Amino acid sequence: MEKQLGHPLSQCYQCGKCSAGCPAAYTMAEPPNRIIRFLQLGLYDRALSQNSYWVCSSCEMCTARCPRNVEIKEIMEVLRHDAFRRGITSGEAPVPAFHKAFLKTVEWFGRLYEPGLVLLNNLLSGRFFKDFTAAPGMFFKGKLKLFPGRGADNAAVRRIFKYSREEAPRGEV
Amino acid sequence: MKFSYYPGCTLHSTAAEYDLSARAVCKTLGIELVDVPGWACCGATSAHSVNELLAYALPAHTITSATENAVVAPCAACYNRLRYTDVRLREDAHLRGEVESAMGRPYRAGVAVRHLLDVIANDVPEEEVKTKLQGTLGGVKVVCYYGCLLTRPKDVAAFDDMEEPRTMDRLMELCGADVLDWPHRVVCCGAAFSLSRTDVVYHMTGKLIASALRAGADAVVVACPMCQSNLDLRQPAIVKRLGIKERLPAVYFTQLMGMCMGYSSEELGFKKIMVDTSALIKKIKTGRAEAPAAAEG
Repeated sequence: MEKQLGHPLSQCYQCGKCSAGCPAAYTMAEPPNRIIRFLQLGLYDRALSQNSYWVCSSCEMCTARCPRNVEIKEIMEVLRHDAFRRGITSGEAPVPAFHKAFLKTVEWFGRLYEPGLVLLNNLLSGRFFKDFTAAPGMFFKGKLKLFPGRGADNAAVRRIFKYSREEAPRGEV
Repeated sequence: MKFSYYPGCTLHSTAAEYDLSARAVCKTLGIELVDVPGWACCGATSAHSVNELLAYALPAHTITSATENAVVAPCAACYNRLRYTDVRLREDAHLRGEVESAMGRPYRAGVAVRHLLDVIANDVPEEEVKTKLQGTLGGVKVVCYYGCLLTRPKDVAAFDDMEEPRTMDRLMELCGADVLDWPHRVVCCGAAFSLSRTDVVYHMTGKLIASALRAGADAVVVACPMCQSNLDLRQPAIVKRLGIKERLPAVYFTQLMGMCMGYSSEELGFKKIMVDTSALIKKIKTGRAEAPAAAEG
């Protein structure tokens, strides 16, 4: 299991400090220390079927505070990559849909383009009018641009995306 | 002092006021910023969530495109991704090889990746900052919010303590703010869930807003556009959920520093903040006017 994940697990003695400090644990089906426990026991599919790694905000509080230097956030990431590749959403479909929408806009424009991101995100997650009410206020404050910005090295960005996509099984974008 | 400047996507849109105020403060402090030519998005949370190679190749493109020997990022998320990339590519030759194949050119190792807060607080001597201050913040009460990516993990983001950072507190004190203690300085705001699990942002950022108000803050000072956006843009929905009437402006540390360097609130983009900042600006000006009188009395 450690080999499969690329990160050591055995030093974890289940103190639960990661879960105590995790700001997203409240909405996880199983908190971080339990995910580590599943993996210690070889229950990989059980870990992958939880929503925990999708609602992990990658804030690194767990890794920072772990007294045994378990790379909890990195392990969550390995699960996320695998789930994304295999289309496993564990009840959190809008989260991977957002990542997909975000990266599509970056691939197209080289940089983030918020109106495009919101539209694509709503389309992919099936929530068509989400966050529309915030747009006019932001626009008048000069916080939203109608058109994507220029200046990014688009050819370089597209090349990176193409290469990264072909490098399966790391993930698909 | 000359740095390559990597504004990152948000400073050209939702965090335009951070860009305005960062450039203004750097100009006054004699920090020359040269934009990285052809810079691209760092990939943010989405890239490292789904594709490891992409998460390193996108920041590597920007680092390699930098024309100076150090690149400064005002966004904590960009900073973290660029630092991560540099650390990993220097220790893992195989990964570096893959990233170079993805980019189609060699990675430029040896470019120092710095956060703007680190540069302003640690490269400019305190005495020199003092000589540039024309006014103070008039004892306005603030809490400094560092969030997650500015200080973690410790071997990547290494300029301050990851549990009890003080860099921003020190700068704000120098500018004459009354910096309050509060327990949420390094707790995550929910960042990338703003569009996918907005309820998670309401929950996490709600805790921050409630905590800052409990501490008695007039404003929360930030150094990250993600934090600012969640604290500011999502605040109306959050205070409604919390059932509170108060509002808490979330301002960039560069905006408050700029206020003390003779820039107007318009020049520093205060009007671009969604939550009304007029009471805060008034408080700073009143406090400033009263301070000499108080000293005499």
